[in-house]
Amino acid sequence: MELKILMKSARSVTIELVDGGLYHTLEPYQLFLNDAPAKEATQVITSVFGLKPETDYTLVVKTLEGKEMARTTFTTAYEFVTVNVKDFGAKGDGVSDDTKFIQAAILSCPKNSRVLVPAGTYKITSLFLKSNLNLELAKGAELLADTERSSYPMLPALIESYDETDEYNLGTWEGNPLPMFAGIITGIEVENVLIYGEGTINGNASKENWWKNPKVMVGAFRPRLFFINHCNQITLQGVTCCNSPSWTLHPYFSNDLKFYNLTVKNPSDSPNTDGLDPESCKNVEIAGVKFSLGDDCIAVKSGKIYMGKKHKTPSENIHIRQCLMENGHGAVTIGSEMAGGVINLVVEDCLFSHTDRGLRIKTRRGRGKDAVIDNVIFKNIKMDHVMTPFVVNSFYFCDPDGKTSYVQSREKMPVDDRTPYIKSLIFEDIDAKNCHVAAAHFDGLPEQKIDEIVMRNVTVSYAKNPKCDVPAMSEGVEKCSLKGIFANNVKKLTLDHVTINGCVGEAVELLGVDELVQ
Amino acid sequence: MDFRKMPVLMKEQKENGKKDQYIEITKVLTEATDRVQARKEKLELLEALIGTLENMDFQIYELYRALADCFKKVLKELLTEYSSLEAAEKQTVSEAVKRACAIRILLEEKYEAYIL
Repeated sequence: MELKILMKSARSVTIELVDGGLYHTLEPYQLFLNDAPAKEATQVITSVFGLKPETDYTLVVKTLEGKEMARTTFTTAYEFVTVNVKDFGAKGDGVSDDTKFIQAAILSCPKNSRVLVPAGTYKITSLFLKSNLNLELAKGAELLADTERSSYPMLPALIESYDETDEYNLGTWEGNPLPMFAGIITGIEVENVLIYGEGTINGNASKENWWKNPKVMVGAFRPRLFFINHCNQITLQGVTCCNSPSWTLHPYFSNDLKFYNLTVKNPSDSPNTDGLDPESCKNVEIAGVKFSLGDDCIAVKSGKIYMGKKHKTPSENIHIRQCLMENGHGAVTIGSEMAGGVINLVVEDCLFSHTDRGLRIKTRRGRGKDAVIDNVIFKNIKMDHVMTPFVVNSFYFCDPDGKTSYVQSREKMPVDDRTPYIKSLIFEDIDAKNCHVAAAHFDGLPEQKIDEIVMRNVTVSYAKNPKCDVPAMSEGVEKCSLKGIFANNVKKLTLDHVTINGCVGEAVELLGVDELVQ
Repeated sequence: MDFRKMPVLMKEQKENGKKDQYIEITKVLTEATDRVQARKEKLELLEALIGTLENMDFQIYELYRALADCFKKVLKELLTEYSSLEAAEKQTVSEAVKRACAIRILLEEKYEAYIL
């Protein structure tokens, strides 16, 4: 067993126990810090809080029977002062509005210090982050969001520069610059922020408020639970995020981000409550995060047509590992707003359970020539009760104009500035059990075929009582169950040690595949 | 199609909750923006553009933005000859500017001089 320290602060540490387990370790274990029991855990990646600054620690991992498995030493970081929100007037009684008190504490916090939110329920609307901030949500602390729209600040979509040569984009909704309510936690052009602890950010959304008529803009579009715009070096560690009004964690044009050991949970029938949607972001690490929600667990995006074309900023270098995805529509999705492209996405050592799809690529004509997807790698993943493990859909219709004949036509169209491009997709060492609908549905454009798909060491088996549904959301795709691999408009398809057990009909159905390597 | 009919067509789209004509409407107006030269026609186009934008759903943002950019282009062309415009023509510009400021297509502090 290898023991790694992923990150440490003045008050916390996140570790990884490499024992071959996916999300869960092969055996439960206990942690000791300087000989004192710290916690019992079952996750490969876990965090310990409540540490003291500038203190030497010896961390020992033991089995529940007491046998030592691994040990390491580390020293926590320097901390100047603690700014306690209660000293600023916050009540934490779940009734009083604590927004301005916590905001004052945040704005008053000096560098290398922490804002401490101790146990209690703090009713808030939007809190704005500042640079060089450590915000601790202690065990038992809950930031409980107000659900009254009129209480929320609005972020305008675009503010034009006075000389009319440029614009300032604040608000966004589904890939377009549109007005939105500020996130419950919002960061605009801040850097070096750590939000950590065992506390909870509760969006408090329900079908009585934010989730009622979810597609209708009332004043502005729904807030994200956590929204950062043009930020750098932002880390979230340990906290639980729940009941988000819309997308839960939405980093936007932000770089060098870490999401460690979080829990993201929204009801399985909540609308558009994606878990984590990096949009035009670079260098993102998502590790040890548990998702259970109502839409896509992780959706990597880069804007719709206008934003993609104007900024040409792909999402790139996204590394997802040791995560558990439950109950979403897609475990890891690309798009559908991906007009700036998605490059270098690696998903490894993860568990997908009861999601509609495993990998889900959603694109369509009109996304533009910058909408390039390249070097997407999935490896060492176990799936259970995933309806369709692999879906690449170049005809995605869920858009205001997604059902036009231009988008949905199966005829070859000219390749032009509107045509998206899918290059390389690699799936290795994947075991998908209890599938329902289809093993894979790869549907490329006739005029711009998918360059290459590699499936290596992939095993798919089916549920005993399979559900019937569509493998992809595009016109002409019928409901089905127990289908094998369908590939359409792919230049090169490699099927290396691919086993499909128990499908009905052909295990592999190919149309417009230029080269098959088996 | 006559670009002058586009505001009515867009209003119908709005009332019927449809967007199927958005691409065509945008095409007609952008082509007109590239084509129209005469002052009278430019003023009509300016009115058509703002009338269309006022009823357009900005969720298909690239189309909305294309028309907003057309509006600015036509307006700026008219403003280069503003001093030679007749009173009624200035009034047309004024109305269009006022409506464009209201839906935040123009910065009001920059164009308020043209609001009569």
